[in-house]
Amino acid sequence: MKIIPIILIILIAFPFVSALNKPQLQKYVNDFANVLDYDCENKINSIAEKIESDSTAEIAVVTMSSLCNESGCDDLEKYANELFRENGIGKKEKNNGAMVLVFIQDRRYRIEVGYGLEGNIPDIVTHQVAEKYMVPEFKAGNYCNGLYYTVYNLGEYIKNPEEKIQTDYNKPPEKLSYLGFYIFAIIIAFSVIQIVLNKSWEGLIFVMPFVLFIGTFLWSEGKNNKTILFAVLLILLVAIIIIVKGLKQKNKRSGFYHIFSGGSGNGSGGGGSFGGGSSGGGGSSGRW
Amino acid sequence: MPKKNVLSTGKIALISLGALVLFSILFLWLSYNSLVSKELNVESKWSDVQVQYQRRVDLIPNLVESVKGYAQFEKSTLTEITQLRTQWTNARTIDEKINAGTQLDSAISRLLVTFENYPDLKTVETVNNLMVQLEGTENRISVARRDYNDAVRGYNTILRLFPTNIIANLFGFEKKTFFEAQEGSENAPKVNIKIQ
Repeated sequence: MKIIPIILIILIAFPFVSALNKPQLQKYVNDFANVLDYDCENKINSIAEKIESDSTAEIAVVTMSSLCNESGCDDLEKYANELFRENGIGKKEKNNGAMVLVFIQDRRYRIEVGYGLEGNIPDIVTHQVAEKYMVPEFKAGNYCNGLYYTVYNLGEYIKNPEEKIQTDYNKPPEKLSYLGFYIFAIIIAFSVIQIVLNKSWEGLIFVMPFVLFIGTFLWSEGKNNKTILFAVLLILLVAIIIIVKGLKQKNKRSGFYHIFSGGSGNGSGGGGSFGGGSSGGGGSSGRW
Repeated sequence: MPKKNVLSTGKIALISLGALVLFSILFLWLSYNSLVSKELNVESKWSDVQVQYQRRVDLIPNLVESVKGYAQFEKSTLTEITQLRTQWTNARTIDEKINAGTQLDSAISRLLVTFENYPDLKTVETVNNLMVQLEGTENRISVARRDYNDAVRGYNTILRLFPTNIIANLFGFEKKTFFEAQEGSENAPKVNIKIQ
């Protein structure tokens, strides 16, 4: 469906008045085209809620039937950006919002990305996610899966910007890969303490692999590895100091404070307005 | 007999004058600041537009490189785009920048449209990605220009409204120019890019 181009020569006196109204959006699924059933909405709402509680990013899903009505047709990109801004998707200070907007009758979509998420989900990523997960499902008429997979994968990219596109949606999050690291760190910590206390140098044998480990991680890409490494080093240092001091002064200091930082989750599984974020026009559009 | 506290006409006049002066200063202060802040907003939105232009210009060398192998692909358009890129980079005044920028608008629009006619190219991931990025940048430019025009509209309005127009004239605030949309460039032709 071709959009009738609106030709503006001077923008002063004639601000573009859009044909479509811009509805108020709720968190997270807004199925104006009525293509999703109740279970599906719940499914998408809960994954979007999880994404928000993990990263504070707000993802909106909007289905509508068409960009055109009796008074004319709107421009997809312009409409998407204005709808996004009017509803303030994403936290105000962070602008970390994204909106998946689909026009069922027109068979067109746009994923609009807020300023704050442009690094995590650049244009190419939104295009790839849409083309890979949304378009094939939509072509088969499976709007639920298409939107669910899309939101899921956007969430994955928000969490880990360099992650490859996920293929198995039921896979549990990968926490095991870090376990080995922590085990190693603990072993090293004990051997260092042993060296310090006993003034024996056999413990160096245990420290050597640690040094190799540092080497491989410093050369590997990915900021995640480095931050974890430094965090572990820091913990090690603190642990050593505390334990050594504690043992020397025979003080029974019980204590490591465990600070649990839960996500700053807003909303309660759907419902509620967005945080006031804005978008500069990032994202991508397409058809199916 | 109670002493009546009556203000002489002279004192009333003095107080009135004082109040007038005070209100005038207040009004001057607020109007001037309002003009300044709206003007600063215009300048800020202008630099946002420049940032997006720069982003587009940065994409061009990659684009030209990646389609070089496909000798037939729009050689003349690519050469034109490269020239316009140099022209934009070398432009010093705002008018020169606007001029080069708008010419680039139409050249890149044409490129994106003709990309449709080369199905082989669409399957090349690097070229495809570049086209997605170009589209994204064109959109950002549109948004930045709309924001700029909104800022100009806000500024020009209070510039002309009474009584701020008096202050404006007094301090030499001038009207700002809008971004004039070239026919069709407001809505750059959207390309249907499919990964085959």
